Amino acid sequence: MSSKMEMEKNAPVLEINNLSVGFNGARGQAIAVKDVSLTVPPGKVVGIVGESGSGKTTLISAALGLISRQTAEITGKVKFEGRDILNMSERELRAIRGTDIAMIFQDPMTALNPSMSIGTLMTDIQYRDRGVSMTEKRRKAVEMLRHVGIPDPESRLTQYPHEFSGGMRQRICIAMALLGQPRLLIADEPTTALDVTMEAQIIHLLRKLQRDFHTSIVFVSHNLGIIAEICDYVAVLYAGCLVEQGEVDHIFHNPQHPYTKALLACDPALLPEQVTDFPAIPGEVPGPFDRPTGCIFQARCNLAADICRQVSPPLRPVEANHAAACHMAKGI
Amino acid sequence: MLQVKDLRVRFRTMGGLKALVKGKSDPFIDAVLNVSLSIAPGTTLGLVGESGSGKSTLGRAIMGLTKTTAGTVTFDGQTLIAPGLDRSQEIRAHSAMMFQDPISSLSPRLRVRSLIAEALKIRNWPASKIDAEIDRLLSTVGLPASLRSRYPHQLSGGQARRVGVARALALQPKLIIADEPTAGLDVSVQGELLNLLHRVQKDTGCALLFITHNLSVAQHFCDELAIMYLGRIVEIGSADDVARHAQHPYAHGLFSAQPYPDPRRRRTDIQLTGEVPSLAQRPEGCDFHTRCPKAQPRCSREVPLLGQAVPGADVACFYPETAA
Repeated sequence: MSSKMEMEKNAPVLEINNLSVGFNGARGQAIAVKDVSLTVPPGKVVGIVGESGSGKTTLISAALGLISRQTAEITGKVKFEGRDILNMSERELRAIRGTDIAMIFQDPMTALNPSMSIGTLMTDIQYRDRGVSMTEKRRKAVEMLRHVGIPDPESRLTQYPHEFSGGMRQRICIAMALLGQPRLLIADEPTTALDVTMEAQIIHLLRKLQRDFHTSIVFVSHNLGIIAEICDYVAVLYAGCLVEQGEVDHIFHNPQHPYTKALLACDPALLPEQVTDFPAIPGEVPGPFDRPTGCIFQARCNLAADICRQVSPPLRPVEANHAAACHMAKGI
Repeated sequence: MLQVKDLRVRFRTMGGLKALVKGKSDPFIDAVLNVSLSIAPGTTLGLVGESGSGKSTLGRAIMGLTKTTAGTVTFDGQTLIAPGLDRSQEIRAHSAMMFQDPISSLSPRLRVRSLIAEALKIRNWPASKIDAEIDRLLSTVGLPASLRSRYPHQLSGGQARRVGVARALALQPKLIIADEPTAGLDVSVQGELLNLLHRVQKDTGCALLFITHNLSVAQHFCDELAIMYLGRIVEIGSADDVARHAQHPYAHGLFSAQPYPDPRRRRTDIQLTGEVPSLAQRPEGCDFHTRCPKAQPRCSREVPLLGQAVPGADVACFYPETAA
């Protein structure tokens, strides 16, 4: 029995298997996510990194059942604590979202309803707790606001979102997300709209909260610095394909996929001194309608050989807890 | 090339009557306060700060796009903006501005061809030569000539930036003011744009005012850096010095707040807490003393001035970090 409990404890919170998302349109099917598999272990932070249009947001939206089957073709499996998300009814999904899985969005300016006070927002979100009195809900709201570092929370409950700065609003969004005591928190570029000093504070806060609440976090970002700062595992997306994944240290210190290497080389923070020649990745990301056969990165890759133009490389292990989808990467 | 002295830009926050009713004697905010800087031909000055620090307002004021309250702008040896004097047209005639949002700064009704031709017509190019010049400019910025007939909405963010550069070049400017030229670009393409700006500057010898909030780009791209906080320059100096040995506590905190892409070098402490105060409630004394970890009683009484607080140092702080 103890071994079964042990297994349960280590069972992944979120398991995505071979997920593909294609949007049907007049020009045919636009493939946004292709064959992505990803697991989120309990109590860990998994980063999804990729440039604009790489399918980061589509991936997590599909994994949460937020994309309508009427517009998109979704194949694969998504399991949250063993339950199949993609085949759940809307009613079942609603019971999970906001309580078991919560989300923080990129833009704290538009994520909060401008016509409701913070107090109303924070108590409304506890609507599921039927037996709980309003006083108790307010007390919980105040406690959570204090936890995320809002000074003097009691008096701020009557204020409206526009009276807060961007950083404070993002703190409120985080507080609202945590009120349901989620076991999985999805953060979609939570610091992109913020200045560096505020970004550092929010990252610091998320790390602290992750320890306090032992929540698993999926952290989506295009910023390598932030991914390195907060994540335990990293998945690198390129044009909807998962090209490399592994422990954060492996990805940053021993990248195996040419795209990951090039991306790291492009980050100006890693440049040694003043340069007149900034590294870049020449060429463009393939569009969703004209995806090549073979490797998705071949057109911009300087290692591309014949096999890369014919066969799409599978994700295979290159060392323990590290896999790359490249024909040229040496496996184990 | 460009010299700015004690420039000040004030905005009125409410009408006189409302201020009277509300009992506010001072219904103004200073978006830019006593800023002095200069840029030599062929060099790049980076203007760095968080949102609301007055970077863009300063850029606009230099071009005469925003009315200045005090101070002077000297361009090419001639004072063209001063109290009671506005010859900013002459500045605009010899400089170009690249605005923050690349797509919305291009008219959606004009094709790329016309967008660039406009700038050439201002320069009185003969109509017969305009087409050839457009092709030359497009190839300079690395765009295929086939893009001429596109509308702005058919361009990617990177292409729209390049059109912005081509438009700027068409004016043969002596000064380019680039307002957040890399914002919204992915790292894999921003390098190409920066290289393009570098090349343009080398070829034309123009001065460049580079406004950005991206610290690592600023550090590696610019010759000199000026750090702004609440409308004032708190530190100015060579890019390497400022980035590596920032003396002002704010500049120091700003650079330390930058995430570094290495999981083995995670930061454990937060040096800068709190947030930027509102311009309407500028603190007494040093603007930064409310957040400063090293603030002393003196900081809340006196305003440290750049170059005077500590003689000889280009830092607006009474107790700067020693250059170690």
